[in-house]
Amino acid sequence: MNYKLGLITMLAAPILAMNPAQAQEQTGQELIGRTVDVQFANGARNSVAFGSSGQARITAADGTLSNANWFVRSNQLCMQMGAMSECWGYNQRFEAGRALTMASTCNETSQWIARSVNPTPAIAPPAVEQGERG
Amino acid sequence: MQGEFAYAQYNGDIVMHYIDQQLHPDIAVREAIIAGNFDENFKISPPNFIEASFDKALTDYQNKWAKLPQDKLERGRILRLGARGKRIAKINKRLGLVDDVFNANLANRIRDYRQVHDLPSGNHIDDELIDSLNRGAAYYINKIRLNRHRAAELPSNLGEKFILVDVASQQLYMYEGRNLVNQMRVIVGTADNPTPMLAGYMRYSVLNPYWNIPTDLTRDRYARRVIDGGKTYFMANRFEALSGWEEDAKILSYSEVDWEAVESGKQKLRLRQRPGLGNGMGDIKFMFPNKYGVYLHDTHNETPFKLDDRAISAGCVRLEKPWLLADWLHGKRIESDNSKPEQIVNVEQKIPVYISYFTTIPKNLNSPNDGFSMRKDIYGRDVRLRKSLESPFS
Repeated sequence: MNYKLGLITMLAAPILAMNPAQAQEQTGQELIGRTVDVQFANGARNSVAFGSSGQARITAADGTLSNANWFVRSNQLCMQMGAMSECWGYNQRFEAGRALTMASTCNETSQWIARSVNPTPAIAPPAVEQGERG
Repeated sequence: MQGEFAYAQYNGDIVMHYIDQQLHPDIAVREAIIAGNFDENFKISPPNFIEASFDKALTDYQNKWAKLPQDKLERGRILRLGARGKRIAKINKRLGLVDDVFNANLANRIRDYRQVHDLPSGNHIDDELIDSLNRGAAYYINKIRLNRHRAAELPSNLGEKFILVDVASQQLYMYEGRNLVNQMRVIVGTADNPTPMLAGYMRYSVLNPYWNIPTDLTRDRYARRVIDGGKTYFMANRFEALSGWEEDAKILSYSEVDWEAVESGKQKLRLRQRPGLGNGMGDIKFMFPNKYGVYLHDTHNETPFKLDDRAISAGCVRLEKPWLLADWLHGKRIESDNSKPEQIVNVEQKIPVYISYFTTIPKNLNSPNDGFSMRKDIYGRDVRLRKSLESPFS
């Protein structure tokens, strides 16, 4: 994230039009352990690595590293850094290499491209090993 | 890519795998919320009672042991009550006391320290005590926090009745709410075949079970034994070879199988062991179907339960007292009046089984000030978990 941007408290609508099938609750599962490149309207670029326990590491274009926390709620992808937080509309899963244009709660738009994503987890029933390991 | 490494860890054996997603506490979101104090609009589940016990025990530990001078001490001969000198003065100082005599105050302090740190009881000073003191409070606090993280992988509400298998201590605990009602020794996987951390509902028990041997074990272990021991070995071990894993699979005779092809992996064979004496599952197995092929079960070889180190299985959890568990799970004694194989008895209540790995845990979860149990990290998971938590992208 470009943390020079203002803080946001209101949810903004995502820019991409969603079809009903896509408008499902997002969990951020596909981002865990993955890196997303973000380009802001003012040309600034960052990459965000999403950790497995809510940590995020942000690398600015000049190599500056920052640590933050991330979480997902009500189809918003939120980043929190110290006392500051900012959320982006997040109504569809990320796909590797596909740009998502997302609006933040201060009406800044940015383009997010996941370098890779985790596969959709199997829900139920789980695969069952044939046999017992003993 | 950096992220790939983190994901490999995320999916590795250092985290809980949820067979039933209802048991997932959504830990990533919760920890982010806790870290960021995002409490508005959230209904955060309270910590489960194991986490709460860790929190109380950690606070107590920090107050009692972390504020003391953390000076390093020299090892040496065993010292007892009445000893005096510079070495005693240093140990007194390290434990927050001022004296050059080994008096009753120091003896009490050492007794407390030994209890909290799970050292052999007593009030003497030996190298084991010195080594522990030299590791320092920070070492133990990190260890406690690491294991608290494992507790946080369990849901907020653990269940009215639940089973906790602690692979590190090689024990199974049966809980009703917060009350520990029974426990037993278990045998767990070797370091090469580690028992994974799992959370799922116990579904059913099987009396007179077959042992269905996973194809990798057949290939890597049993094919060679059959080749070397021939038909005599095959028959003596009550093995059956089958044409596949379907219900109507055909039983193959010993000579119908190309055992060399099975050993080389060219042929995948379903091998099972008939119920009865020597069966790998014993007389009962407890099933919570999962992709790891890991279950709780009886065994006819009880000798290893006498060992302190019982990490000898292929990943399953063998039980010291399977019928104690069966009675508790089903609320009655389940028995078979015939020798029919694979008799299934459903578990009527929704009883979770958590297989976790606590290298440190409060000795008494309902009395967290009693100190900690410290266990050997038999699978080397602590280092990997710490690395993952501290630096998920490095």
